[in-house]
Amino acid sequence: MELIIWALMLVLGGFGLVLPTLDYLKKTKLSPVLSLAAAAVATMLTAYMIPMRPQTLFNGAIRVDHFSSFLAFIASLGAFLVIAASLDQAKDWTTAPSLYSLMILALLGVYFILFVADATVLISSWALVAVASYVLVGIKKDERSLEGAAKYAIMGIASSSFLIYGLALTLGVLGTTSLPWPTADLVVDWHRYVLIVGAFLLVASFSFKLGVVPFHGWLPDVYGGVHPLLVSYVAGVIKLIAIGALIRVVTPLVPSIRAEWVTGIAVLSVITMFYGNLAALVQKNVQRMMAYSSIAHAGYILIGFYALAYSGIPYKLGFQGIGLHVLTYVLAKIGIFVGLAYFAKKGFDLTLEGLSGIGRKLPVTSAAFTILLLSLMGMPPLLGFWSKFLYLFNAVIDVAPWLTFLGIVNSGISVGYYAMVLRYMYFSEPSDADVKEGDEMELYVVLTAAVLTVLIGLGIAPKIATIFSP
Amino acid sequence: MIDIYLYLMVSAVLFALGTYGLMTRRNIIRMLLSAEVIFNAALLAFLALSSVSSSLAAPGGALVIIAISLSAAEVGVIVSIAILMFRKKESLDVYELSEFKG
Repeated sequence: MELIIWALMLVLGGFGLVLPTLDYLKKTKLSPVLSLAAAAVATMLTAYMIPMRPQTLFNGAIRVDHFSSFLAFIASLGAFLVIAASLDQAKDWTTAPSLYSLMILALLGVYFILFVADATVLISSWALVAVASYVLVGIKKDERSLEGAAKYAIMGIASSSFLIYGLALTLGVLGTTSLPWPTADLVVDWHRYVLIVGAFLLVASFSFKLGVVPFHGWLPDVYGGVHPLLVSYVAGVIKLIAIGALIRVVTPLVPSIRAEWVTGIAVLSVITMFYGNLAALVQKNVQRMMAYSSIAHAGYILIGFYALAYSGIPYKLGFQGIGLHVLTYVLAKIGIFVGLAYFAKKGFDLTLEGLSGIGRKLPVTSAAFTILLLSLMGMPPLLGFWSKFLYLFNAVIDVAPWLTFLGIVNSGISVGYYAMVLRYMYFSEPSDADVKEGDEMELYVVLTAAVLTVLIGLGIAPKIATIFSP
Repeated sequence: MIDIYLYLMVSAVLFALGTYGLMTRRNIIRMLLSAEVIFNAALLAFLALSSVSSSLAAPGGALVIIAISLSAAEVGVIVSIAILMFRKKESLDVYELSEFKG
């Protein structure tokens, strides 16, 4: 196992560090292809790690189990898809070598946050991912990218501060840097209060990255304004650090702070779902609409974290639901944002009117795009139906039926804007522009995401869920 | 030995000041300064808490040094984004920028 981690570090870190220099000195354009190869190798290695026995490596610095290697596999798959999609467009940007090197370096950082077993590793890999992602957002150097990057970076530094503060308080009470924290009963009463504040500072810090509502300020501008290809990386790969860190760092604390956790997470989840869905309803720009839909999906995932406070079936279903919904979310968001990048490249405006009749102009991409939208909506038999209804909402039905109810209400609201996109795509008169689908990478990426969504939805989802269940 | 609560109180006050600044300012440099105040409040709390615990004294210091390097990298990136922004728009206001309101 340690060998695989070394191989990942060598392939991703080595290539990431060497490629820009190589391209600059030799005047070659190797970095896109080699990064794609590195991501492919990483995808295979992480897939190989999923069934392996959980173990602690590097003297307790990292711990690999089924769930974390499953998330690592999703992250590598996402990175592979995004790099493949950007081969056609991004290779002409002047910053292309840095873009690819940042993508695979950030991927390496994501692994270490998913595998984290010590606070020191958490902070250093957090630095790697955070700094790389700020640059990644602004790498196109146009006005919108810079604006997005400025907001993302300011919110990011606030998030890092919350992380350090939360770690200070939890470490101060628990007295150890190694994870999972000991869940001993806290003897002194004020220790418990400090722990509650610390845990919620950590939740706040990860919520910044996840886009949970009081901390979502940056998200519509970044997801809605920056080039869709870059957004697909931030939404599909970087976001996994929030989920991985919540699972690894915060949930071990839950038994000590159960009552407050349940209240806090329920409030966050409900306001996040409602805000995301209601704000998405009034958007005219499809990319911005998908940004708000990301916020709503962060709310759905929090329902799974609510279920983790209980034992038995809610815990199990919630845990599996988080994993499956992350898969749904990553496939759908990467597919959708890559699809939007493709539409923009073909000269379409990314507003609702701009996409009028696109279903007749670009039939294959539009069909795949539709499947991904339906999956986010939760339409059976697609993957989104399994993860959202049968796992996440089902997990809390015994312990908090009202939360299931609010989740279903929100799914209903979300149909409004997803269906609106579909209406414009298929039932409006197309423009006169003469465009055809060609043999292009973006098309294949959107198709791959859609095909995986359908295939996993057709009965493989429960089997996948048992692989990484606790 | 000064009571640890004193340090924690100073840290909480700094934290509140920084959060206030971050929420009310619109200039990217001012926001960065406020965020840095929060960051230093966190470091102060960290050092204070780890100094009273025998098991945390060494790892606590190491963590703080790693955290400082994290903050240095972030500041470097933000300042370069601010410079690029100023060249493009001749303004450092993060909210004024939005040309596209949805």
